[in-house]
Amino acid sequence: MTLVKRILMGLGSIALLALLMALVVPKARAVVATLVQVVNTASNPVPNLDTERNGRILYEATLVQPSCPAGYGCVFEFAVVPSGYRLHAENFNANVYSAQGATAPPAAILLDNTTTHQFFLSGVLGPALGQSSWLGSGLNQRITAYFNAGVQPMVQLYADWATGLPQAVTLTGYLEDCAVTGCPAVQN
Amino acid sequence: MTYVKRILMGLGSIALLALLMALVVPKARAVVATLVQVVNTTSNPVPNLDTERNARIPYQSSLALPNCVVHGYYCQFNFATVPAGYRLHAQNFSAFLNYNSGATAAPVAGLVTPTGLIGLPGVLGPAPPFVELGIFGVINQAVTAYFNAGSQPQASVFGNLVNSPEVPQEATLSGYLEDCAVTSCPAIQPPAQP
Repeated sequence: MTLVKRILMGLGSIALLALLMALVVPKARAVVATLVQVVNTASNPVPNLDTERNGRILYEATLVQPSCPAGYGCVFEFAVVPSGYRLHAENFNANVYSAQGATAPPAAILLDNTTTHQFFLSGVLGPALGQSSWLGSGLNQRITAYFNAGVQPMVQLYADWATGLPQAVTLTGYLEDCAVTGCPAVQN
Repeated sequence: MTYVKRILMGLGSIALLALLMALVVPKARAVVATLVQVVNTTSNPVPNLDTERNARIPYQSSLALPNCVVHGYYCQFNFATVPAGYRLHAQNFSAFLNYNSGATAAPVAGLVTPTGLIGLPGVLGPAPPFVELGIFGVINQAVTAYFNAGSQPQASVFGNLVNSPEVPQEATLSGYLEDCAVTSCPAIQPPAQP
């Protein structure tokens, strides 16, 4: 009986000590996430916003040359792609006045100031439209081209020019926000 | 002293009982999720990030090949091999082709895919020849073609092509690399014919 008493007394002492420790020692405060289940339905979907898509900045640049030299290409230089962004060029357009009597359509080379990558674009020769001095012609091509920050997109446009008339090019696409995507290196 | 002993004995009995209970009584371990309904509106949407789209890597392979013309009309471009763990989505093919004088026919290219050949027509450049270019043909076509990891996209270009070390033929294939760690890159359907 004495042995049982002693054991119980020992256990009681331990319990008392544990109680004191629990009161005195600061508690570890584990971060516990509450599990949740979203119960929105197809008729009541969660409205969301794609941060990558929302971080895109529309890009649309038009350049005009008052006239282009006969027998040579006409060079158009777009603005340098700003720091922190990558240009995704998606479409190239040129409004070209070709000489009356021209027999071949305009063509263009889209490149950058490093000339690492080039895109070669062709157009069509339009009708005379009752004019005696020029043929309306043009070029519109979907493209997939990438220009990193600091790179300058350029275009060399070729046509049998109508003299003294303006030639215009437009490059459209969007600027990818590298702060969102990280802009991984282009594979080539 | 006896009073203290009794208290300690009582506590000891309770501790022993609690220990026994802890060992004997089964614990309830159900993982319960709280049901919530997201009430954000279209003017206050939940920001998210499309992990598949964000994992895409741009692909842009350009080649300028001198002396590439075979049989007087054919040049083959072997673009950068698709790296392991990725699948190439080719979206655009573009080529600038230097022609021999007197050429009148437009160029055409064939993009060799795992399942066949995609034909890509081009046009002759403007005449008269430009001082710095001569006669040339161009091709630019949007395409949709897939190349799995390890494959090397190839394009064959046909035309009245100049074969010269100084006058290369040029082509660019562009698109993006799909990250198979994100999408698992399921097999392209239908399976290739044996």
